[in-house]
Amino acid sequence: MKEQVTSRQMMFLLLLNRIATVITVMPIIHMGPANQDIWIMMILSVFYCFLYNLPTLYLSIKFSDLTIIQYMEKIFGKIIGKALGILYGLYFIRIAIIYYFAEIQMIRTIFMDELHPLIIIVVLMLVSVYVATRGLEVSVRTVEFFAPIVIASLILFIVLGFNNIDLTVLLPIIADSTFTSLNLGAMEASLIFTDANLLSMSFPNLTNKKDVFKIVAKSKIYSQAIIILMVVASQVSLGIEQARHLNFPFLKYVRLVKTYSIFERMEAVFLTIWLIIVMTRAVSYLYISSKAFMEVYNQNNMDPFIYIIGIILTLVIFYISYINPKFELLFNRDIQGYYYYITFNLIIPLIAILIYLIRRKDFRKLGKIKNKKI
Amino acid sequence: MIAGVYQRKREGGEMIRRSRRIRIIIITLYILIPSFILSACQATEGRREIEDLGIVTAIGVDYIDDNVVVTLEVVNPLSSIGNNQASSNKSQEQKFIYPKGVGKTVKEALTNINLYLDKQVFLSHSNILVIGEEFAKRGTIDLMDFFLRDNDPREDMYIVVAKGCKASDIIGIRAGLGKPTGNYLYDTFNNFSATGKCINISIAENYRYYYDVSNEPVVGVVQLKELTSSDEELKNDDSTVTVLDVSGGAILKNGKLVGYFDGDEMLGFNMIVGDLRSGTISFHTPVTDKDKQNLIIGKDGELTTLDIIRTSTKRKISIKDGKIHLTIDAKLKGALNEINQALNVIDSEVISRIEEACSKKVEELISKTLEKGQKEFKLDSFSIGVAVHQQYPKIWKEIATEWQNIFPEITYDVNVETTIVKIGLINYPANLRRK
Repeated sequence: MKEQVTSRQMMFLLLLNRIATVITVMPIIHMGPANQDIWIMMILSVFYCFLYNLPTLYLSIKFSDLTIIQYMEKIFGKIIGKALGILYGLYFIRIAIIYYFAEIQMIRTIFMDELHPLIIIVVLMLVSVYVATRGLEVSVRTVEFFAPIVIASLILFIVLGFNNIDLTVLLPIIADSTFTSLNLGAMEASLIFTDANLLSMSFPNLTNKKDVFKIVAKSKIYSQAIIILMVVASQVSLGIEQARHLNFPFLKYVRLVKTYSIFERMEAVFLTIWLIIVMTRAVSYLYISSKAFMEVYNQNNMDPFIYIIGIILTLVIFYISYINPKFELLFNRDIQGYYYYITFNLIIPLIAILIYLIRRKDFRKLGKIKNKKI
Repeated sequence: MIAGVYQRKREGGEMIRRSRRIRIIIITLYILIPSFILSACQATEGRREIEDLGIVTAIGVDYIDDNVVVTLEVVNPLSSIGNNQASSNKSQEQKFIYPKGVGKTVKEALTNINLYLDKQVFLSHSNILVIGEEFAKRGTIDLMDFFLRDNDPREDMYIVVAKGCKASDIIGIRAGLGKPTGNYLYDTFNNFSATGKCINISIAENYRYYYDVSNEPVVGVVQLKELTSSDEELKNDDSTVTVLDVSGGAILKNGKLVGYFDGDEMLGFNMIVGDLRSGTISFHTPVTDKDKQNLIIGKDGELTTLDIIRTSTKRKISIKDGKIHLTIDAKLKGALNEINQALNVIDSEVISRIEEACSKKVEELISKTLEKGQKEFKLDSFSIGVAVHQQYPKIWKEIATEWQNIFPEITYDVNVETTIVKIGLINYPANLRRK
């Protein structure tokens, strides 16, 4: 039986994924003008996020019963389709690696600095593999339960740090940035959010596919509002430049919370919330990469793929975090990642759309598209 | 058929029982496994038992003969708390020790402490970082990296400069009701909101100002002060007692100490930066011809003291003849809490005069502090550059890099408006007979 995901569950899954992208390292504070106008840049980036997601969204609507791996095979033919499927699978694995790496770095730096990384990686991976094998439905139900708690907690953390906040840091508005720098920054910021991949891999599981625009709009707008709050809170309490010197700016903000002598040293609480957010994202990518390979190899059982990818991830993450650390992957701009994003979310889908439009009549004739009108 | 139904019911019941058993096993494992894995007692790595830790309450850093000297105040958490006495330095069980470590870097010096200290140094509970004066004059930025990079020290601990002495001279002074130096100093700095004559700046705040192109931080100051003891027990041995005085502020430029503001100047400083939450101001109110009716019955004193309840400061930048002009508009609400002068405070005219006198005094304090910043230090520690940046961003782009040279030349005027909102429990002072 096909797993079912409600619109609300999908919205929360995408929302947490977007928050997870920023909460750990906060790469957006280095983008565009990299000054007090970042919040404006982030508002602009909502538009670019929509724009970048349009090609995959269009294809998902046209092939509503198929994942991106499956419809690529339909559009490009078996050989190219399978090759693309493998590439997409590898791309998802790369994203998963970076997120697990970020998790390990933060856990090892702040919370368990003396624990051997292998233990942390193995524990994280065992949990992730277990969650992924339970299937999408169980994961999204968990997300639906935790997301409101997570969002409320994040807002609470921001509010509790009010005595460190100096909003004049945000002045002057726009004077130090140009329209071009804000837009370039917004474009770059949009490239780090890979939630479109999750949607294109889970689209067939949506119970109400008509809600897709509502899901995308809500997840982007709500998450962006929370992200802006986190960024602004970090910048106005730490200062623009100090925030840029920090590897984990929002964590630093939480460490500075000291309100009424009651709310202080809240990192442990933050750790719980942070773990839920980042694990949601990491597990999602473990799941969709396994699903991609399962579909490429036309299998029905995803578990072996989850185990294999879990082992690969464990080895690679251990290698890049302990044997040959690659800090530039996290704390520098992931330019390579942007190329991948543009290739897999813009170029390939746009070519696919072009081929689809050329061969549209063939598809109709062959009746290969189901539910073509949504 | 009935047998079949019973059979199915029995199977169903068995399944429910089995799933319940599995659930109980899972819950039991869920509780037991973390208690074994996550318990610090069982771990071989990263365990931190309280008896193994040297909990640090204050850190002092000096720079002597090209070496970093770190002095710590380490609390023995297992010592009895019951026999705390204000002046007792040693009780039956030693409560505090003051280990010192020497090294080329802060981390090395800290690690060297563990060459002879049996407890693992734990910095997370330290609220105070004292920088020796010589170290502050040398410049601290390079050697402060540890406090930002390492996970143990908290970024919200106050950073203070030991005025006229080494940090190691400060660590160990416990004049605050038997508290360790760290807690004693921390609580004293938190009186900032009551006195307004000092400043409590955390490491994170210090770096926020440090990174600003137009601003240089002012951090807290601590100095040794000898007081005559009133304690009968101590009088027999030694008539003086050493306390720590936190009035004033240390001005840093690129992490280097360039000078100090005294306590009164800090009142002015806090007023300029709009951070004066409370404090006390004493001033003379000029009143002429006040004893027309022969009402003064006691000694007519000199001063009136006002408790600051609330202040607000607005800093307006204007450009006059190509020169930057600063206008400081401050508003102050206060309560009269000591009148030595024979003043009829229920006369609105007299109240206005007191308010005017207070405003004048605050204006003097602000001007004195600003003048010191401009003429003596030639350094903007008041975030005036930030105000220029916010109000004239285009002009700021041209002058940003030259700001510290421009700042000494800016002109300013100060307007203070005082409102007395409380006069206390009595109306006429005792040296004035009520009509």
